[in-house]
Amino acid sequence: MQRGWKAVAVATVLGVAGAAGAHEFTCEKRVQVKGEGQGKPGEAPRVTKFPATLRFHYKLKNVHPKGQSVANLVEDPLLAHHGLGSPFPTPVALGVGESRNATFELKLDTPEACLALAASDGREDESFDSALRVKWDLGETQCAARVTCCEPFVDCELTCPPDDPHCVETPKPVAPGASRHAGFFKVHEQALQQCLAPGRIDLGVARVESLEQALGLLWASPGLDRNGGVRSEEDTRRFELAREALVSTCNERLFGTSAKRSRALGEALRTLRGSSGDEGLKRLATELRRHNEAGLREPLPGGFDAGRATPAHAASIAADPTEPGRP
Amino acid sequence: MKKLMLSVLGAVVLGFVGCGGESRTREARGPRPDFPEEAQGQRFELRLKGVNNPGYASALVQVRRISVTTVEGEALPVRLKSRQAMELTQSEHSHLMGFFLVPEGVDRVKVEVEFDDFGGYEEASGWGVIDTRVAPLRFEAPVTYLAERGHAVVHLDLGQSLQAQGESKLLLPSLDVRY
Repeated sequence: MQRGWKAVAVATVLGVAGAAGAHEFTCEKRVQVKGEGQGKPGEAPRVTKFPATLRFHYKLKNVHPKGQSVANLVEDPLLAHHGLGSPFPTPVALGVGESRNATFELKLDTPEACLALAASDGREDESFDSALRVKWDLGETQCAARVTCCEPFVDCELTCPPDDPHCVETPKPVAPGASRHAGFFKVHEQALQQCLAPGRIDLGVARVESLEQALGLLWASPGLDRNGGVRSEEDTRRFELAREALVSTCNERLFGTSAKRSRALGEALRTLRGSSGDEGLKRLATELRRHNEAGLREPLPGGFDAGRATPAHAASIAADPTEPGRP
Repeated sequence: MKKLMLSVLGAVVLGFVGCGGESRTREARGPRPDFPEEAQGQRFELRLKGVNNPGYASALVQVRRISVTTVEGEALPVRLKSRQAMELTQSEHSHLMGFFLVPEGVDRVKVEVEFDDFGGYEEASGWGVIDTRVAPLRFEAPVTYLAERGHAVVHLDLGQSLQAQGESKLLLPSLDVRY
């Protein structure tokens, strides 16, 4: 019975907190790379010169129309490892319409330090995504920003030190032909339809014959089959490899072959059609994804019409071609 | 007594769940339970909702994975439920991403949501890809907050989160977590 009272007390406290927790914040976060200008409009700032200094700008605003809002904790967890405490001392109380600004600077000496920072956000790429987290009674507000590291010796302004005989400057890669990633084919039905025109695509886990099936592979959940059952880890990887193999096939069919991509695609298709375990599935998917994204900046061949993007319609007709129980 | 109270609390939680997703009743009777029998704990929902739509006719994203751990990093049972892309312009709809179980004695959990690589958007001035190749969305949830309505709902601010990136939009999440 004593516990019963405890539960009622907890419920009462929660009720009070719910009523009192009328905090409303907005936050803004952006990154500036000092000395690099603003970069291209619509693109994340890019670090190309080292040593580099990143300046993080924060703005916290109370948007509650009638009362003050109180934040109990404000943090940018991924930057805490780099010396950032709370950007705003907490608890922070802001009156109606009131806002606060803060900045934090982080120095990066080398491209490797930049790439290590990028890897710390939980995604293996060259971008660092981090979020400001503002915690208040019964809720949390977040805002995020991205900064992208250059690729050493490709778009980094970097030369070998004259006193380092072991340093080798990688030659700039030859511009690849045009290619498009899975996102492009996911929303461009006309392009995907043209890809299927020469015939079906046997991906082992599924034979893709129709636009609906191709869209199904692109729009379906990698983690769940068409009945809502959970795919195993291996099945998920096999599904994701099949998706990249479909995209590679479309790039080959529509925009011309590339020797390296063809080789990787051949290996991926042999793996998908065989009954081997999950060895190599992730590596091959990563490799194909890289090939599929290599020619994103290259224009599509003259005369090729991808049609307009129709994501809502594409998603509505997508039908996962893989069999439940199989990936 | 404790079990009875948990059942009552569970029933109250069920009464307060948000809209969308599969019916709990149907799941309870269905052939495939969401969690193995031996998995114990209070069940919570993780939902996603688009807010502050500046005029998108469509904004579709897909979730690849959700994970929930204790603050110490111990993985808790999760069940992904989001099979299809979620239409974030449905302002009245909070989409069910998945369920998770929190055992007794745990007072705070870490939640992580990883999006699938790409989504899509449509607006009056254009159409294209939403680039969701971004770091996972993360937040910490006190169990007392979760217990209030049985869920955590991520309110994704479409006006702030979808940033122009050439013809695409980059998803850099600006959000509120509500309970």
